[in-house]
Amino acid sequence: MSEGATSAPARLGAFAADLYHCADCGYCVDAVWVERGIDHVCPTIGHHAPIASYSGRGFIAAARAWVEGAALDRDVLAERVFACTGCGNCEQVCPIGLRPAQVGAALREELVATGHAPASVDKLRAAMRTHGNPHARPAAERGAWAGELSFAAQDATVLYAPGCACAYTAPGEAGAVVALMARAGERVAFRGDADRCCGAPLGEAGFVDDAAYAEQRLAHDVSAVCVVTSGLECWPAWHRALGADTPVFSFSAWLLAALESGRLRIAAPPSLRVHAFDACASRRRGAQSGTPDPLREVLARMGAVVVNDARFAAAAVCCGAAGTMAGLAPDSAQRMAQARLVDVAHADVLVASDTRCGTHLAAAADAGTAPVVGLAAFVQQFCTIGGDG
Amino acid sequence: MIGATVLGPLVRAPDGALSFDEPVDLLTYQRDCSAVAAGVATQVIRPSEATQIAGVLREASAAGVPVYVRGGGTMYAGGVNPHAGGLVLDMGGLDRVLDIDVERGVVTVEPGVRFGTLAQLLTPLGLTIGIVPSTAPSATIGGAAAAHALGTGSARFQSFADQVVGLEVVLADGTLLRTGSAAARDAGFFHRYGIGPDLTGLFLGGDATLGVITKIALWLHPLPATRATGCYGFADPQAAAAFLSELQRGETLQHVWYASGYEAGSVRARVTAARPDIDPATLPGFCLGFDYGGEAGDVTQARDRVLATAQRHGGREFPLFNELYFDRLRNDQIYWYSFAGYFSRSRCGILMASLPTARMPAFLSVLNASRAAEPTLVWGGAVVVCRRGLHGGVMAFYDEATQWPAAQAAMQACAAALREAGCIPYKSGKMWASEVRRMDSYHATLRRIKAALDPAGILSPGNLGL
Repeated sequence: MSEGATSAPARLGAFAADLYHCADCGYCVDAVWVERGIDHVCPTIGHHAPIASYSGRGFIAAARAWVEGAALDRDVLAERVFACTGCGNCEQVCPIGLRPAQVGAALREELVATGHAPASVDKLRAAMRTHGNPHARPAAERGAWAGELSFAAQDATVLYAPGCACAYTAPGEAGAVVALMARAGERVAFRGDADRCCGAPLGEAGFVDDAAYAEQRLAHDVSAVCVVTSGLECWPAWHRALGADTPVFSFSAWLLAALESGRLRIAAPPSLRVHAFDACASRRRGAQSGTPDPLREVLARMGAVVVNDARFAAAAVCCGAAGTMAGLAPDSAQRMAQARLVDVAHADVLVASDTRCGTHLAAAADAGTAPVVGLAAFVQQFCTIGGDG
Repeated sequence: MIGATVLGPLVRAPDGALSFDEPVDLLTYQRDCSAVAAGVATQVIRPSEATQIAGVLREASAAGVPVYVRGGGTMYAGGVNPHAGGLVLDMGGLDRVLDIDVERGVVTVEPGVRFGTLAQLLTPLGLTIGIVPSTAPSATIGGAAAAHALGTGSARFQSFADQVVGLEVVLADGTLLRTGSAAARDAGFFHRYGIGPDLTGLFLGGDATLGVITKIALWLHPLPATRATGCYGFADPQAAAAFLSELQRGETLQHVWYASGYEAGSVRARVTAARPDIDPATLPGFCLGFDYGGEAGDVTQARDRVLATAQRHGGREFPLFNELYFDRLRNDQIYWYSFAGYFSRSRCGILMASLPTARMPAFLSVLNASRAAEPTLVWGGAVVVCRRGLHGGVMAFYDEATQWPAAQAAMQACAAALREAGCIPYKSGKMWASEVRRMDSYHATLRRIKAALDPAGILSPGNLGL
């Protein structure tokens, strides 16, 4: 056993009400709530380990024990806490409004601060420091997605920040985004190889100081009229970095505005059955900004036939791409993705507005699964495009 | 909260079963959602087959290791709290729906199946198991059987135990017992009674003291085609109790799937929070909510009969409470447990009692006396209407950081007062253990049965005072 966690865990102090009001009802562990579309609330419990210590209830119990001075093995605790995807579904079902996912995040911060991040998580930070992205891909290749596109538009109206997942693993989506924005009349700039991670993955992993530094770098390096990103998890980091005076949009939010203003006219084929992938990051964005990511509104405006039930979007569990699960336990992350793909059986195509989800899902899909595409690629590959741009 | 240290496994984990003994993992096996003190287990085994349980129990019996059995952990009486230490059987791994026999009208499940999971399968077939507790999203069928559940369906069907056709149970010596018609080889579950004494009943509400339930067969019922809710206000609990007694003597309740009563304090709190313009003095002294179900014509007739009966007892329709609370509770599927927390956003100690309908005013007097005696806690109370009699719940909302001793003492005092008022334990577990122990011949007989079935006394020591 490593040393007992008896030092004052300052970050947990803000959660006293959560630690002492939890009723142990277990909703955040394994609830199946038909009327709310919740079929097993926690993807980690369902696909990684069926032990409550991996759930929100477990985080609350461990945090309380730590606060009360119990000598817990921090390395064991870290394996539990870093297996959380951070999807936040546990907070959706808590009957009394507690914040088990945020308690888990605070535990991650405490464990990082005391040097107990799992090795895979430390590797993530090392990759960020060395390469400027969590995938440990060379910084010099970051802008390769742009090919021959010019990335320094004069008097740019939009800075496009694809995000690490999109830049490195979905170059086609990034290119499609730029093409659509240009078609709508935007003058698009992007940073090419000078681009770097916004710090969101560091924040998810509990490296809050590193994440804050990454945001400070953005604030220092970037000047833009407006920013559009393909990473839903990137949106809050960019928003914090650039402040309220610089609008930051997800690509789907930008596209919705373009459709509403008439700058683009897009028609989805009426015979195509579309599965709109409800990302947990969309719900988190909703919690932060008041508006979930508008993928479904975009698809509706294009006339797409969406076959999965919108009522249950708020109960979306993680596909395994979020948090540190993919690095910590890739097999579990893949099972999470495959579980989400089961729902796609009645669709011809799955459309994901978050590139991190899309690439993770695509990697887990088998030959019989409907194609998984990003929103821009969907428009480019399947839809009829018109516009005034 | 109690810490734990690694002592090593007490019992060998059977092949295919998950076993763990890390203190971090044991933290979530210390308690249920009651105000009963936590216990500390040393090992958790999560079996996936009944045969694995047989091996665990044989070994635990030989070594004298206490064994507690945990489903969803939503019981309000501490039955899963491992006060004697030992090991906890986490039944979540036995979560298969084994058979839906529409022809016989029987569904057979493993104990770790959650009510929500079963509803996912039965609802598309137009079927239900009748009794669905208010903790349905996380409660398990096995837990409901072991701890006596109530909820939606109680007004029509009485209790969860009444819906059980038969059980498969592993006894402390590893014997696999099937009850009801399934006791006969290859007969399966289709009748509960007929062969001889009702062994099924021994294990229903037994709080896992006599055996570990590994299969449950339940009757299936058609889902009601039409639902509607209505609320009725009365001047006082006496009038409401007389109204309910008259209904329970008749047949109208066969079209009522759920009914519950709310004391004046709860009614005022909920109405005035939403409508501060309403003078609390104009509100009823007691309110009853009804959730009707059945064919449309039957529901209409039942509503007419209930209103006429209410009016005979001085009651009137109270649509405001229906709109603000009851209809939302039922039709938005905000389960009771969830809703309790809406008002206090804190942990809640619950004391469940059974009572004859005529004793409802006395039950509410105890609630009011408790409120007066310990005003630092936020008190609430409600009754659930059964086909006969009532189940009452006294709730004390508290901050565990600062009010744990006060809540403990207040709940104990309340329990004693409820007994004095003619209420009896419901969901006994450890919450009511001392009261059950006072039931001389009943408890003596329980002890003799326990000695016969579990001579080493390993199964859930402390529950039911055993």
